[in-house]
Amino acid sequence: MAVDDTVLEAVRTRIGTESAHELGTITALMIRRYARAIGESNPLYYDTEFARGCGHPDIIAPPNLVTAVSAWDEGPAEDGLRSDGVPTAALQDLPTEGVRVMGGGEDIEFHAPIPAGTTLTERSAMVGAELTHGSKGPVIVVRYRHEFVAADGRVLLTSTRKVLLR
Amino acid sequence: MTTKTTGLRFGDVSVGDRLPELRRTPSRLQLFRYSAVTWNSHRIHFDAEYAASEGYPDVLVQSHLHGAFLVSLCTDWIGPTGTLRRLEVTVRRYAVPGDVLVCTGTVTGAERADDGTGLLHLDLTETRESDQVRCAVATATVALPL
Repeated sequence: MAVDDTVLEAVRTRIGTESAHELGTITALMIRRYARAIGESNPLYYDTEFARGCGHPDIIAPPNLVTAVSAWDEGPAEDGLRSDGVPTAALQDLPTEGVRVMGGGEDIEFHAPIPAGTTLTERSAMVGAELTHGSKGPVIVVRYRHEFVAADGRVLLTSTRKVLLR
Repeated sequence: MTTKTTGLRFGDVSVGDRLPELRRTPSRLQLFRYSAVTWNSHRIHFDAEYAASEGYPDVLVQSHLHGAFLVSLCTDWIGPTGTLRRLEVTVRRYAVPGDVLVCTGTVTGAERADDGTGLLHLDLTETRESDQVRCAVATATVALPL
């Protein structure tokens, strides 16, 4: 199924609807595992004393860790996944059948480092959706804004992400 | 650990400078661990048969892993006293395990910020070595001590 104006209008009904999710605490183990998975050996991600020597309270998360995590809870059982493995619930704003969904890029502002022990809430909203025509046919570009907020209300990171529907 | 806690300073850098190249060769195992640690269940990253059904030669490097390589390019260069302030990244072409991805960067602008740091603007590229295809492009801003 090719995307079209009808699909676009359905997607656009969700623009501006905000949601907030408590993500829990960014743990030191989560940071070290992520750093290992991206091939990093930077001591800022592993060595508490080194991180303190650089002015941080503890090791800090690699910059794009929090935007890379697909799910902060246990996620659905297998029967809650599409055939491509994507959780059906993660696409609540989008058509789930016959449309290929892929990432299209991201613009991240890093307002402050995220040290181990930080408890985060994510505030999200769809901020736009446009129909364009690429080399492989029509594409809907959906833009989401995500803010990662510490318990004291400081916004530590802002991400504007593009999702492509084909 | 006795690693240096000082890094690059703003005065060390000029517009036109090139960042030291960073090379990454993602493996199938790396993709598996990246999906696991980010709880990404998309089959395109771990199921080669599924990836073939979508027309790809193998499982695909996650878009955020492309981004992570470009982050490392910046943070390796600036050192622990510099900070990454912004990264705008677009993944243009897919990459698969075994592809040698070469990350390069150039300083395109420099300015002093109100907070007493120096800001450098960068153009970044992640290129597949075998055919020189640009898999990801980005712009970034980093802050360095004056």
